[in-house]
Parts: sequence; C-alpha cells; structure tokens
Amino acid sequence: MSRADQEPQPAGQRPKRRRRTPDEARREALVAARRLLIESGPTAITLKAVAGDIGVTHANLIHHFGSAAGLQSALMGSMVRDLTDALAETVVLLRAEAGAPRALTDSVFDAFDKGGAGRLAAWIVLSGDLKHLEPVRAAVQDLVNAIHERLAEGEATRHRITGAVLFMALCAFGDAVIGPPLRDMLDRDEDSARRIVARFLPSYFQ
Amino acid sequence: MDQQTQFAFRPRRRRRSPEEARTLALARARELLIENGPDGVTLQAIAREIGVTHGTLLHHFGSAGALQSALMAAMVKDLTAALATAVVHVRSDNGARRTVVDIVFDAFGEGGAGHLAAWIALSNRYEHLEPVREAVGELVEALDEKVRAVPGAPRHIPSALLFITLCAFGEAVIGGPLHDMLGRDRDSSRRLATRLLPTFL
Repeated sequence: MSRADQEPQPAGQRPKRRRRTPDEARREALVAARRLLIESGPTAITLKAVAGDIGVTHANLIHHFGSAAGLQSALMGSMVRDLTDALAETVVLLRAEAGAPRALTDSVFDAFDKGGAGRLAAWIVLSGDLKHLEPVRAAVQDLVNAIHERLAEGEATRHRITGAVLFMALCAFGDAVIGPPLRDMLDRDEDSARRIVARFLPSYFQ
Repeated sequence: MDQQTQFAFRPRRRRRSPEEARTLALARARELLIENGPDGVTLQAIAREIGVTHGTLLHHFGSAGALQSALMAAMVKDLTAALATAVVHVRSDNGARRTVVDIVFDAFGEGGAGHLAAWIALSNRYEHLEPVREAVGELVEALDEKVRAVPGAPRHIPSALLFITLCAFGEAVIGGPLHDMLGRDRDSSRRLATRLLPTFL
C-alpha cells in the first residue's frame, strides 16, 4: 500500500500535479537557492527566482519561509551545517590517522570550498547577520581539541594550535572566495595556496 | 555676431574633463565603500554625491560592475606605491616586515578592499577584472624591480603576495568572528603573517 492511500485525502480534492511534502518543498527550494547563490551571488536569491526554478508559486514559498529574508536565513542555516559537518570530518581524519600537514590542509580547504561554504561565510559577514555563524563555533573548537589530543605528547601548546587553525582558516577561506582570480593574476597554480599552508603548518606543532 | 555665438555657447558651469570626473567618482566610491559597505557602491549613489547624472557615470564606467573593478584596481595601485618603499627593507629590518603586513591588512580591512573583493567574487563579476589584473601585474613588477636591486630581498614575490593577500582578505572578512571562536586577540593574524613572511625570502 502506498503512503498516499494511508493518508486521508479531503473528498473531491485530487492533486493535479506531484505534491511535495512540506519538507521536500523546503529542501528543493534550498537546493535551488544555493545554486543561485553560487552561480549569481546573493542578490540573485529572490523568492521569484527560486519559485520559478522549482515550479511552485511565490505564495507557496512565502508559506514555507515567510519572506525572502526567511529563505536566506534558512539557506545560511543549511550551508553552515554542511561546513560544520565538513570540519567534523577533519576531526575524524585527525583521530584516525597521523594527520599529516598536507592531509589536514586539504581537509580544511575542502571544507571551505565544497558546496560554497567560503562564499556563504562571506555572504553572512557582508549581510551583517553574524549570528548565523554561531554554529561554526563548536566545530572550530572541536577541531582545536582534536589537534591538541593528537599532539598532546609534543610541544604544541593550545595557543600554538589556535594559531595554526587561525592560519589554516584564513587561507582556506580566502582561497575559496578570491583564490581562482587571484591565483590567476599572480600566475600561481591551483594548488599553490594549499602548498604554502602545508609547508608552514609543521612550524606550529614543533 | 561672432561674439554673440560665443556667448550663447558659454558653459554655464565648470566642465570636468573625463579624467577628472572618473577620479572624483572613484574617490567618492571609496568613501561610500567604507561608510556603507560594497552594496552601497552603486552608480546612482555616486552620481547623486558628485552631482552628475546616472547616465554620465554610466558613460564613464560602463556598468556598476566595471566601476567596482575600477575601484579595486585603484586600491591595488595605492598598495603598489605604499609597498614599493617598505619591501626593500623586509629582509634586513624586522619592523619593515610588520610595516608591509600593516599596509596590506589596512587596505583590506579599514580601506574596505576585503569587503569589496568579497562582493565582486560573490557576484561572479569576473568579466570586469581586467583593470585589477593590470594593477596586480604592475604591483608584482614594481616589487620585483625594487627587490632585484637589493641583494637578499624576497625572491618569491607572487607567492608572498598570494600568502599575504589571502591572510589580509580572510582577516578583513571573517577575522572578527574567527578570533572570537578561537579566543585569540585581533592582532594575532598580523603577527602570524609577519612571522611567516621571512620564509618567502
């Protein structure tokens, strides 16, 4: 028996097209909004553009998100979750392996690069809505702790580790947002920022 | 009769040369950037500020994206002038390293170049970046020239510029929340960049 049979339907009301559950509609809208952000920038995320993209009405989107600001806020929330998940993967990597400088660097760079997390962070700051970055705090602190555990027997103090994370995050964020045009202007290859960070990282852990 | 014609064509107010108009517009754009952030740098706002029409500004710059790019290029040119002197002493003088770092971090931070670069990147307006590319090329060339004249000065100008720009940009945009999350003081990114700069020598 399909789910539709189990759910009571108001008499005489037959949906003319595929119905989305509220969850599906929200999810699809957020996927479309993320694509608009990455392709065309924050000003492209309008209710009209997203509604057109997923084939619902403007009013329907208002129902789900309240307003354009509500949609943007939901998008920030979902992308920040992806960023914190990616940082958590770095923590897993650190706990599983030796956490070689290059692997650690790649993991942090990927966290900011994948799914537009770096661009998202820039957008949050430019919009002045810093509270959306708050969930990243715990992920960043987990990362500091994981590096600390890994290197507990060494000389690395907590202060040095926060310095290393600061350094990695600044470069990874910068590379994700302005890296492509900047590297091109300076005639550096795609990998150059990662190499610089991986080269300097050990100096923090000694 | 000649006199009369002349009188009739006398300009009612002082005319600006195209170059003057561009310079004035860019100066005002820079102030607007610092006051209101990158989305405040619109052709309309600048036109109002300097008392020309939107159409006139459009004629000078072509589009808002091109104006933002011209502004970014002007900022890189200022960096070139400021860095050319400081870079000579980078190897011999520890204070000079900090000066180099401060010049770049100030331009990206208080100068607004960081937020502007983020805005340009977010909008994917890469089609207007030619003036910025030229200015960056001139920056590399100017620093290279300075450096070649001084034995033992930094050799890897493009790598050093990539490193310091990423740090200064990152600091300008996410430095505030990041320092707070890590329990670090605001100056730590500059100290970090100062400490690592000599490794490019």
